[in-house]
Amino acid sequence: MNQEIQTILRRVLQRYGRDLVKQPSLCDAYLADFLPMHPTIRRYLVKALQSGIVSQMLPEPDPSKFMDLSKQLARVTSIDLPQAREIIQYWAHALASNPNQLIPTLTTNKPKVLSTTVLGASVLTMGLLLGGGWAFYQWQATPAYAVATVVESSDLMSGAKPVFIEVVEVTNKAATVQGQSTPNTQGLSFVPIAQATLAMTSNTAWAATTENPSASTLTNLAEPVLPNALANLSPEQLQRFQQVQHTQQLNQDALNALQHFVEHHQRYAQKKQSLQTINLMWANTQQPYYQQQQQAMSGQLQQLEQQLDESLGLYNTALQGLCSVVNGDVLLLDTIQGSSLQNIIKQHVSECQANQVLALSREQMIQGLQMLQASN
Amino acid sequence: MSIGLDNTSYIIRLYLLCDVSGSMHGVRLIALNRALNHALTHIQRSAQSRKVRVYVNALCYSTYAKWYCNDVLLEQCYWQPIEQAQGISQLGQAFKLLASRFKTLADSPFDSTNIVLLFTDGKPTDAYQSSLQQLLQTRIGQNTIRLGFGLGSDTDLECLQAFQGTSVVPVFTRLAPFKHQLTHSLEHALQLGYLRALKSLRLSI
Repeated sequence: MNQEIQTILRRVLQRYGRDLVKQPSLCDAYLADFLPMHPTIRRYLVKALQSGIVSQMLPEPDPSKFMDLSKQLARVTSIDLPQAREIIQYWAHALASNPNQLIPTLTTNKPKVLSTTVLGASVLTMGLLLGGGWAFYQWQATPAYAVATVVESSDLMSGAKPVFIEVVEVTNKAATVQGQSTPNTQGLSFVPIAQATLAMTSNTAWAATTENPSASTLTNLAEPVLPNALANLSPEQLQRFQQVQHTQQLNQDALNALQHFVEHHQRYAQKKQSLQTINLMWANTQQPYYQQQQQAMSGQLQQLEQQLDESLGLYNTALQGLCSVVNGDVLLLDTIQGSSLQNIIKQHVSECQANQVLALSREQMIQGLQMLQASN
Repeated sequence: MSIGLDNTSYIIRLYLLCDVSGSMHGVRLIALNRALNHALTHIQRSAQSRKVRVYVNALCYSTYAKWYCNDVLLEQCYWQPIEQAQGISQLGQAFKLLASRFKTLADSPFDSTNIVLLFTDGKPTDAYQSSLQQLLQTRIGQNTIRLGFGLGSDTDLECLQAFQGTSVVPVFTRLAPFKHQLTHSLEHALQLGYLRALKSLRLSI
């Protein structure tokens, strides 16, 4: 998600009122003025309004409806589902009274299809049952819920591919990780992202015990609200958890810097093309207008170059931090995945080493982006 | 063609209303600057040949409206490119400012033919209709030649049609030929203005 769009959309609604949602053409006018660099996104945002999808998010966006709304939007606009989901996320962020509460929800997908989960759970159950009768007796003795869950990680968080997880036992009181139990499909539920993150800390599953998850119970990555669970983690696990969180934060910083770099580079390329045209016109006509335009355009190009360097500097800093934290740890490296830009970050991180002073040049970065574009 | 009147009697005032809101950022603003420079340079020659005095006025509007240039004689007019486009499109502000100018000019002893050109991609964010009515109710406003130009493929025609009073509004989805089209339209408008001026002078004689 582009943070600039996210922020602007929210500010527009704050400044001009939520009633804009009922006036798509007026909203379109405001967005045209505030988001001139993102015409495509604007078009889809307005389409979501016109088709009445956004009004279904009022008065307060309900995360459980996001998938349905995304599908509706994808149908109406003929865009693919991830893009539709992004549009819904922009609106949700803009309309939510407290967008911070939405972050984990927005970035966490629902569990995979029930049948997949049940199948996976059954296979594991069989294995476990065959593996030892002790597990069965222990399960009978301890009234604990245990769920096998397939968690698909978020864009923000990490390995966007589904992370399958071993069956673990989680009691309501403590997060003891034991490799035995029988899956209980009644407990299948939405796994909050922080819990999934915790699961990664021990490279095992983290089962959700929440019966009816809601936005308020979902946790924010920045502020883990599993005090009981955290308190019961071993120092190594806690350290691991912090590492994962730190990685995610740095990943987000790198992503923001990279997005800015891409936007500035696009503008830079356009302006450079315009300058060539102006140079040509000046050579042919010798009109003072073109000379003035040349000067103005050169100034703008210089400004853009500065902005490009700033973005690159921020990116290098974040990347250096990531390299130090990841330091060849494959599991941590896997948390950097998702969008194509994140894949670039992942590639850069995998190529670097801890304590390495990074200074990716503009050319290297542009080359990477061009390769990405070519591969797409 | 001379009917014994001095040049001062042939006055045409050109009003350029330029949308410089955020949506005009980029190629649209570049195209507008380029087109105005081209068109104004071009019509200098035709105005000279007709012995007409053309005064150029430009008004830029976004969140607020302000005069960009005031009554500059066409021969001395050199279009200084507008550099920034930001803010929201408050078209009503532009109409109000123009209406106040027309009210002031109504007291002037010199009569002039007025041509108003509106350049925008549409999508005004205010209720401009009342301001437009205010403009059209002024004595000068009633008799102006009004032309609207839509810039960009997603131009909202409603405000341009309301301004022009006709449903046919030129929209330039491709910005490259805009300068030629604008020059042509301006030529045409000047010719019309010239004929009007001539007609009114003959009537007054």
